[in-house]
Amino acid sequence: MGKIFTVLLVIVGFVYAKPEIVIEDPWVRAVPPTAKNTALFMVIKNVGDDPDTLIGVKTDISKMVSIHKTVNQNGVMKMVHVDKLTIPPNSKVELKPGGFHIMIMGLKRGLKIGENVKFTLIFEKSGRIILEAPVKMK
Amino acid sequence: MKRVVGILAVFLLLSYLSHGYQFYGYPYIQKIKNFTLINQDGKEVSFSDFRGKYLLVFFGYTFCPDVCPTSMLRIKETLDYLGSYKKYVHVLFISVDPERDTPELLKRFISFYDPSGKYITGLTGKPEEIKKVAKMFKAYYEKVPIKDNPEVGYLVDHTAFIYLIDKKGILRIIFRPANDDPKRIAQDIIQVIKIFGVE
Repeated sequence: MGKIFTVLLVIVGFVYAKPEIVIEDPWVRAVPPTAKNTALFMVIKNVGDDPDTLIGVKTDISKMVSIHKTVNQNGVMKMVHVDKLTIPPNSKVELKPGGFHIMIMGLKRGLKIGENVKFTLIFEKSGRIILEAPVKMK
Repeated sequence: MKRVVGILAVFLLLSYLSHGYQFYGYPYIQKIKNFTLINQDGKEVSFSDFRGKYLLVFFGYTFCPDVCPTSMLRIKETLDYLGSYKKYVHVLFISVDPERDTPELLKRFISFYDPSGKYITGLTGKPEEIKKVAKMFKAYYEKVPIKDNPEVGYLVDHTAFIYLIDKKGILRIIFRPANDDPKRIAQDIIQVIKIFGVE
């Protein structure tokens, strides 16, 4: 009986364990008006009990968006493309200058400091999360 | 071994001259040979034209999405922390993407970080000239194509050190990307200005 109960618990746990994504402090870096590229930064928290994975980002302001990581390799700063970014349960991943970031390439227009830019983050399990990120000079 | 002794000597000399002040950046001594490039106004300028000023030199490019905007902001903040010493300092932003970085693009890029137009000079030029200058600073860069994106085309991997050069054209301190606290960079600059004086 105890065994069956444990198995049931595991099944129930498996069915009900789910990720819960919370986005904190998103911001887009203000860049010179001629710049064609910039980046989106934020803290992605997963307060749920199951991992989730960021698999895509969409925005209208640029031709291309992708997940990148800046890596310091013997002093050379390299951009590494990342296909997806997994957020483990009860933890967070910080996207910040010099580390993970959402690269915004081929800006269609200049961005003003203080304006809010709309993004759609696509997670494997949580689906689409829409956010507005202010343009900041920092 | 000779090199280690040399580096140790640089440390001891600077530390002696600065009464035990602990430098945040990496002390260095290297005479920078003169070079000539094109500034943001399309005019030829030489390194020697800046003699008398303390220089912060950075290699980057205007298409740079993460590293250069961070470094340029830190440089801007550093200038603000210099206070009354700001007038002795000038910044050289040398493009490692001379094929795309025209003087016009450079001008708009640097004016974003220095609206007064007084403290930052952007430099571009023939790719082979830039290569020579970068080599002297042991700066490295390499084009990295981006797939399926003709709009952006390529990015440039590059070293992101900030070099402090004294008023006689001698490289004195190197700041690594990890040493990017503008307040402490400013303290080092002021210390170096105090040691070597102003004109």
